[in-house]
Amino acid sequence: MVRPRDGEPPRAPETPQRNAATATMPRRRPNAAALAWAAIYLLLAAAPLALSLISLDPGRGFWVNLSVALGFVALALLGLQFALAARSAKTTAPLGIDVILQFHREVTGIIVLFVLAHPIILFIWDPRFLKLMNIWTSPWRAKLAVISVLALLVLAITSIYRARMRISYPVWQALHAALAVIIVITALAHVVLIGYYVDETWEKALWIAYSAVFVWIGFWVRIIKPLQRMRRRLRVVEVRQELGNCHTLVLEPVRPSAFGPTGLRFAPGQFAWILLGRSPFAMTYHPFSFASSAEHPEQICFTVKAFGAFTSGLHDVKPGQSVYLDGPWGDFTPDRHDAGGLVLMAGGVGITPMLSVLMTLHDRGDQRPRWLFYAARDEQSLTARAELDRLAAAENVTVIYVLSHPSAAWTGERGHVDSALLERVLPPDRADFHYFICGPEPMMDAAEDAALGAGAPAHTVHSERFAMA
Amino acid sequence: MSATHVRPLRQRQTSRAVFALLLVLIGVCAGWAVLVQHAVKPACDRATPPPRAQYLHCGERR
Repeated sequence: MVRPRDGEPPRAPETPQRNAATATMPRRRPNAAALAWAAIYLLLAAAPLALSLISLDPGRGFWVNLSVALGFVALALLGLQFALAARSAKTTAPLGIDVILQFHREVTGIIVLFVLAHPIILFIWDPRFLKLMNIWTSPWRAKLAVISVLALLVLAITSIYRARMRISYPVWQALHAALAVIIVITALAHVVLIGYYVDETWEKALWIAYSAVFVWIGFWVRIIKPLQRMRRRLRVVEVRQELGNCHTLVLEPVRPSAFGPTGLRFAPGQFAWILLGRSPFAMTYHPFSFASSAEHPEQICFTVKAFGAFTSGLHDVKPGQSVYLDGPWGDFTPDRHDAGGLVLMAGGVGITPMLSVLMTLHDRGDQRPRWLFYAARDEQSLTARAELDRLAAAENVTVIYVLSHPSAAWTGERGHVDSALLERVLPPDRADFHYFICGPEPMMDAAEDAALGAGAPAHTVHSERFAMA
Repeated sequence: MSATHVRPLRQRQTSRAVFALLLVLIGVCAGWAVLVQHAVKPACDRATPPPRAQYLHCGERR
């Protein structure tokens, strides 16, 4: 959807090519770097306990010790959450941003478990500790602990149920960052006021240094990274209305040289966090899939459906407006897999990464067979249909629209994408095909079932879930 | 349509890693608690428990 590329010579008819971004993208397996990062993570999580052994305070029995250990480890994990959320290319490269973000979300469960177990063990061991729950009469060390736990629970609940609670993404981002800072500061103050294991000067210095690392991460994420993005500013070239209540933002780098000799590189299927506005320092970046060819980074597209306040306001965006981009990110790309053929299944605006995949493979002259099953409500919901029809003109590309509520004039597929449809359309020798699925949650669940039902091995089924929280 | 919704392999592996981390950390905490219990004399066994141990209610527990 960037510009017509018909007539461009194919680069390598039989062999799929990988561009500069994907050439350095390994076929991902557990490797030394990933194991090293996991070991560092574990060491940092347990570091407070190891360091406290240097100068132990008087003993308080097994249960109090266990409670304290859980509290210290939870605090270390909380600090590490900042590092995981910082989206550093170096730390995310061995595992992938999707794994890092999922890990970030699921580790919150461990933190909540440990933080709740920390006082509960004390309450069971000696019920008199329950008096500390009364924040009107309890000392500050207990007040701060209660505030920290409550803030953690609010953070977890608003992250899990953000959509159900109808909290907009920008509000959630700001709330999430504010609560995270409150949790860590109040928990650190709670530790210092109690004084066990943080009484010696070197112990205080250690905790200050530990906290300073988190402050540095915040400084790097909020100041240094935006400054880098300022040099790599993009500008809006065009905003196009699309079918399906979508808009396509066409962007180009203001200074292409700022992206290095290879320009802005990404792999088809990847996404980026983007920010529209004058300043790259705003907190609210929104994640969207690239919707254009990775072989033409001089002009990139994002196709966005109007859901919330930000996406619904895109029609007001004017050419020339600045855009800041954090990315590319993501593991949802055929460039990471040795597939003999590709089966793409999209629902609604989940078509965007598939567009990028189809355009990129077209531009590379990739001869592998590929099918796109595009599920939508009706003819008016088929975003980028004209572009898809153009891509489908190639001999090895088959595009199948599947409409749940088509008009009477519709002669194509009706209903939903299921295993019967896949078995009817796909060739019998599809053992080495890979399946890529993107769309709304129910559609993705059904499409995964369909692929597995059609005989696809689980490791060949890849999906991209939209929601970050 | 099959009723078995299978999460992608990467997601399942990540969840397994988180569960393994949970078990390792519980083991580390319990091990540390045992180690410390045997490494230092309990505060309440001292003739004068340190002020920071007052909330242990040493006198009432003995």
